[in-house]
Amino acid sequence: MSFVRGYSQNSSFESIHGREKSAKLSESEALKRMEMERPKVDKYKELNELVLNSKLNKIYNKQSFELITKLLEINPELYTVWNYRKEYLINEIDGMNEINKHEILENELYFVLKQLKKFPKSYWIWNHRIWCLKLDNLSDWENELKLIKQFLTVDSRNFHVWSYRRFIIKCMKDISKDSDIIDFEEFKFTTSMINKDISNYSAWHNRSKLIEMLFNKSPVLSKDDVGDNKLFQYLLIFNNKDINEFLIKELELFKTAIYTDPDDSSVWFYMKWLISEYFLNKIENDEKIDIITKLINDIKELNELEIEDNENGNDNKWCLISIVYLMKQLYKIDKLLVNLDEFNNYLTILQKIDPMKRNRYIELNI
Amino acid sequence: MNESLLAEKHVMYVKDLFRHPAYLIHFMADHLKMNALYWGLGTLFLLKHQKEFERSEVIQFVISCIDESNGGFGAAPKHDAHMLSTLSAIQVLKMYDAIDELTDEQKDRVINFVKSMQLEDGSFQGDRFGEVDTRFVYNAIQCLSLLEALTPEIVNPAVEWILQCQNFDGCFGMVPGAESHAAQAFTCLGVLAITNNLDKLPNCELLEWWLSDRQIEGGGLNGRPEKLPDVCYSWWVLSSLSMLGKLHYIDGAKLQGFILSCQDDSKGGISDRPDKEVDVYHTFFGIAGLSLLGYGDLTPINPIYCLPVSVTDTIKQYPYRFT
Ligand SMILES: [Zn+2]
Repeated sequence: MSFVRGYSQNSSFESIHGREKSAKLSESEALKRMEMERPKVDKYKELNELVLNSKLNKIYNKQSFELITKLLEINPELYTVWNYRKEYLINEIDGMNEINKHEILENELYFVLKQLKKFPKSYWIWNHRIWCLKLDNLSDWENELKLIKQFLTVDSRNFHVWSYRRFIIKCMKDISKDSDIIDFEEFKFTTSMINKDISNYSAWHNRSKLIEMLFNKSPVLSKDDVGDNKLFQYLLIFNNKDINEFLIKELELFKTAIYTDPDDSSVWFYMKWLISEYFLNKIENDEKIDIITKLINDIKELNELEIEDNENGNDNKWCLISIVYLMKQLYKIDKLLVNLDEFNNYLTILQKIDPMKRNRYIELNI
Repeated sequence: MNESLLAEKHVMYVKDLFRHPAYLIHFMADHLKMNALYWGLGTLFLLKHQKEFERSEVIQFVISCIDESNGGFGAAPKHDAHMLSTLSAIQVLKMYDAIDELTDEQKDRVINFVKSMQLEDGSFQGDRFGEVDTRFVYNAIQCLSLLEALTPEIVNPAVEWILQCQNFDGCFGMVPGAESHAAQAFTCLGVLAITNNLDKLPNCELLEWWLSDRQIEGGGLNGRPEKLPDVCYSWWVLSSLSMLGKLHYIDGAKLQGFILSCQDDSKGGISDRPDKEVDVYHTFFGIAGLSLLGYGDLTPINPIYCLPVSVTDTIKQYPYRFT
């Protein structure tokens, strides 16, 4: 594909993230680089051609498999070559018993893992791992969970890893009689991730999904089974579908989080969900009013501390955004509970302290 | 710090990319050539330099990427068809008003390829190996729209599935259950917009606030809470806000400043963040963002299709009226 004469000098196809800027090469420097890279380019081109042609000719032997491996080690983004690898594997395991099949796919997982460690954000590689696991009926799920923990230690927000975890959990649930126990174990896991880092939005997200599932169906376990008293309290709440108690407990966690880091946006988004129609529609009016008014007071208290702390004496943006949101929710229940002057005053302050989003505050209506 | 768009430099950058490959990195990029062609050509169109390439040569390249086994388009010759490269191919043809350069058989085959990727639950896989992602639903729906081949049988289950991808914060993930991501707001809203279903979206205000909260100190936009800003989100977030009619919820001037500060004033091109290495992907989405902000005299871009408005004006609107 070339539509302009001459050779490329200073450009790249890849979507590069975070790489340091390179200096512009002059014509002679570019020529030098081209000369220097030529042996590597020739080797790569030869290997690439060899592999693509043997794919077209549907050759599935050990030698072609080795070439595939070699090429993917150099360039793991070649989705067509990953596809070739899949075709090869399908061909190889065809007619095999489960044990032999498992052995081959296990080796494959080992290869994939090596690549993932080098390229933890490549869609194609994660995709290949999932494809392997779907074929294997003897997969070791616990081992996958261990790997996921390692990946999350390196980058706790990698969304490929979180997606992969949800996939593994789904596989485990599909073959389990007690899928709700697995959901509760996951709830424990996200709780521990949040306790480790209160600003892990990926963990808050996962928590929201698990809560929906656990209110739908939760396991009956004894306090000894659960171990941790706090978690056992949550379990009882899920068992009894006690939304009011849930909100009270969850808002305690929220309060701890905002006091830990009031400028972190993650938990403020989470609170919006807690005080949304999704939960409010399931509790009584006086319960709603109690919860929201107490919450507004808590946030106001934090905001006062923030004003004292801030050098310029400014309010905390997230505190005000949340108070405004809560006042709106309160207004829907009983108009008389909201002081409109106060509400409008907050919006005016927000226009000042968050000027980039001025227009949304101007447009906000109660 | 650059205060204005270095348009000529960016044209030079894109042209440089489409010369003969020189370094190993050029040869190693076959897997995204078709996407890069769309980004590069898109950049030229936005900068009003659409005549830089020989139209017939580009069309010939696109057609050489047809995967004969199924009729879809691969990222390069001999590469397997994939939804990502198939949409880019059709978009490139559409930009040149060249969809009719495909034979009727080629057109039918690509339509069938796209349709065959839909799964029972309404979602789409990227290819026959089963990866599902809202991106591929968007690819499919836009492709079929450009080829004027949308039907309720395809659209309705796809829309239902897309709505299941909405999360507690109002934004969307790659699949039901997956974390919200600004790029997924674009793909999901895009599907709803192309199929005239935006009114089915619950919690608009929640999503509008979440999206505008992507603008952080310095004016740049990030893709998820507590992440660094990145030029490509200028497109994903901005186009989403635009589809919702809320472009004014963020500070356009500040964002413009951020995008312009990511230009490379010697090589041309735009990077993800200031003083990083440039690439054609960020160059295109940076300029697309500027176009949506109404910067200078750039060609206006359509937020739903990510194509020049002059190109999308000719698209038949769904639901189709039979006359
Ligand atoms: Zn980016």
